[in-house]
Amino acid sequence: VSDEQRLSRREFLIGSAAASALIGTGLGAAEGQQTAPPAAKPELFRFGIIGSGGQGRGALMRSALRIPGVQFTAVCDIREDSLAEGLKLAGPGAQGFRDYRELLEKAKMDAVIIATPLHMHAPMSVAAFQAGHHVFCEKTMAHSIEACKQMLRAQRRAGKLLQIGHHLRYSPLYTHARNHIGKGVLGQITNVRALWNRHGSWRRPVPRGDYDFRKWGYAQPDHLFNWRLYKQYSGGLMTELASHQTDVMNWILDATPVAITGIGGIDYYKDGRTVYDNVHVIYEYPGGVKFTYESLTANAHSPYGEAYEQIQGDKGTFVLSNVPKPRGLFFLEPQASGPEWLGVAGKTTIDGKEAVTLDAKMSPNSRTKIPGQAVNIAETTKSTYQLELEDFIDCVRTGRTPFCSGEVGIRSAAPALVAIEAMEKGRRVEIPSDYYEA
Amino acid sequence: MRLVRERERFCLHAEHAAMACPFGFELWGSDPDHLQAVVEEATEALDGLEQQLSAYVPTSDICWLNAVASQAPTRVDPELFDLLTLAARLHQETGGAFDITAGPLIRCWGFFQRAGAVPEPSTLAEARERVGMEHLSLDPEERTVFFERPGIEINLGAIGKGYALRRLLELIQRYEVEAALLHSGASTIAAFDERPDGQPWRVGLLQPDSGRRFGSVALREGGFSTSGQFEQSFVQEGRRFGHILDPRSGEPAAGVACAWVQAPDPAEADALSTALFVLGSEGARRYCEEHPSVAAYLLLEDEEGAQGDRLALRGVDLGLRPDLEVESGE
Repeated sequence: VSDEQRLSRREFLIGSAAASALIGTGLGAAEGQQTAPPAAKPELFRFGIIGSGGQGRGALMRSALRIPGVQFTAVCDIREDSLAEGLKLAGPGAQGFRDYRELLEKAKMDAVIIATPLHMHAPMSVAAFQAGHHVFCEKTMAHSIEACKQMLRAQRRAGKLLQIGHHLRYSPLYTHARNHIGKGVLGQITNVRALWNRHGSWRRPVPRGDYDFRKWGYAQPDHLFNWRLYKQYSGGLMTELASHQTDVMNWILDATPVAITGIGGIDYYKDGRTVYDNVHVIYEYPGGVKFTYESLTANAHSPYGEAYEQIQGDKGTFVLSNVPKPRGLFFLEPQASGPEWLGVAGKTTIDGKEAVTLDAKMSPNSRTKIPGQAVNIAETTKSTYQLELEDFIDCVRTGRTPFCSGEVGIRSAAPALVAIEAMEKGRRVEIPSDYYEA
Repeated sequence: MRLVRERERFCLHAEHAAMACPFGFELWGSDPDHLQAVVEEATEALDGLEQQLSAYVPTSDICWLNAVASQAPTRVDPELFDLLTLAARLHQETGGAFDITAGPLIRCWGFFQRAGAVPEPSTLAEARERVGMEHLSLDPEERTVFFERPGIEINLGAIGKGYALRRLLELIQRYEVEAALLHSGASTIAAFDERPDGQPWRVGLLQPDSGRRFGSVALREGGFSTSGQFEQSFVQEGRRFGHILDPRSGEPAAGVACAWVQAPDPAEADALSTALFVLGSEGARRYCEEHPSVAAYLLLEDEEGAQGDRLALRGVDLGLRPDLEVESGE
């Protein structure tokens, strides 16, 4: 299914005549998001969730509950505070669990969401498939290539669906940009540069209370709260941040890296953590495209927001960002003439250089059907979390393979995991093609 | 961030920009690394609240409600539902002087665009049609919000920062922090416990026209907030129009230059500083009499003040006096 078909199908499901008229622009989804919830009683969709902490509750549950018909019938967390908050958000009737195996056995649900520390993604997903459930698993897919493959094998045996939470694939802005790139707006892509820089230790304070951390395999209470800082539970910056951006580049370039060089270190926050606090990686894609990546934690400077991707071709450059807010810019190379819609597109000036805004907001003709400029993306009221979950629900209902399937997930996980290996070994590591296959 | 050591204790000062203002943190405790982790947790939570509550973030719950809640009852999370319920109670208790649906009025007076001008009567009438929290229906059973009239929209500008401070106070109290003072651009302040030296936090009061500090109040816990015509106002045909609008009339509120409100909940303090400003001295007095946990101080401007240059001001104390220290001078 192409991106346009995928977005159009969602439009069709919303059932709005106005939205249907936009099918074919490739951006109908964004316009359709302003559509009313259907007047008829929405069809029930029951989720269970394992991991109702910051990401599970704050991003996924809250986004899912915007979708008409969605209910959370079961919530599981090993932390009492997260469980209580999750149950409160789910509302009356939801069952609470401390042990995920019990949830998988007892909950009445149409699918389970897994939003736990990385090292638990594979065992929980495998158990969910064995119990006969469809799975939406947060990114990154798993903590090792073998664990990713276990998930895929279990999924295939169960005949159930698996979606990985790389939500940028569901972003109207990124879809918009990818469509343009597919039409050759940037010409031949030669280079990519991306970063995700923050200024903060990433260390969470440990609240008061007794926590049964050993029962769940954590060496000390701190590890339960700060699992992102320790290698046995997480890949640090590579799996918690960078994999989003590698996923986007795999999708846009329609390829996966063949080799990775990297250097990282624990150079600033010498507080006992075992994951790097700064990473610098070069991915080599087929055809000579180099993708240079950096993620810092002791300096948040960035010209285009906390995180961005800069895609450079021989005709121009796209700068895309989703953090802190969706933003797209197009810089034309001086030698290139640019697409036919350039004259009417919205423009801005960055450091004295003219840039086309990819949200079409500035264009006086923003509502006319200029290819790719027909929608004011900046006004969309659905988050990418909501969009990915809506699509997942549609997949469960129709049996369609998720856009960000397990097969996509392993292609985005492997570069993050191999980059860690390359940094640890201090040399270039080639990625065997069977890393990407189950 | 700035760390100060005072004997056995540390005080961490930090600032974080959110909701279009600089939030300030002053946290006291014995472990500086822990204080830093708490500040990081708090700023992340603050960013999350902005993403949820801001009318300027297209994917926020508020923009989502504004887009869909006039078409069908729309479910929101328990915290937002509680906040909207609080806003509805304050709307009712103040006879409509506090109203989170006043956005169309603010826009029609040009204050959103920071270009104030008296609107045409027909434009104002049209905007007033789209204002009124009584058109907002809250269903606690289903936790849904429904706009009974098309065109209604929510903007939490008059309560959101105070609410964020309340949530941050709750967060900080879950950790080993001895005392804390938080503020949102100095317009609303929230205190957790008194200062470690046993003294209350001292909050200065500035005169709106001169910026002169004319007094201070002692704050031991809870919220304190101010609303005034400090920045945004305009003069048209010799008359000055302030940016705080009375949702009941659709006109700029007159008679008060500045209102300070103390209340246990920073969200209430934030909302009531606007509401009591709008209500004026008599309405504010009645409100404080009926709600003993709320205290206020109003600086009134007289007719002469409304003419322009320098305000003639008169203070009205509605319960703050025991803690209020009026400084000498002039």
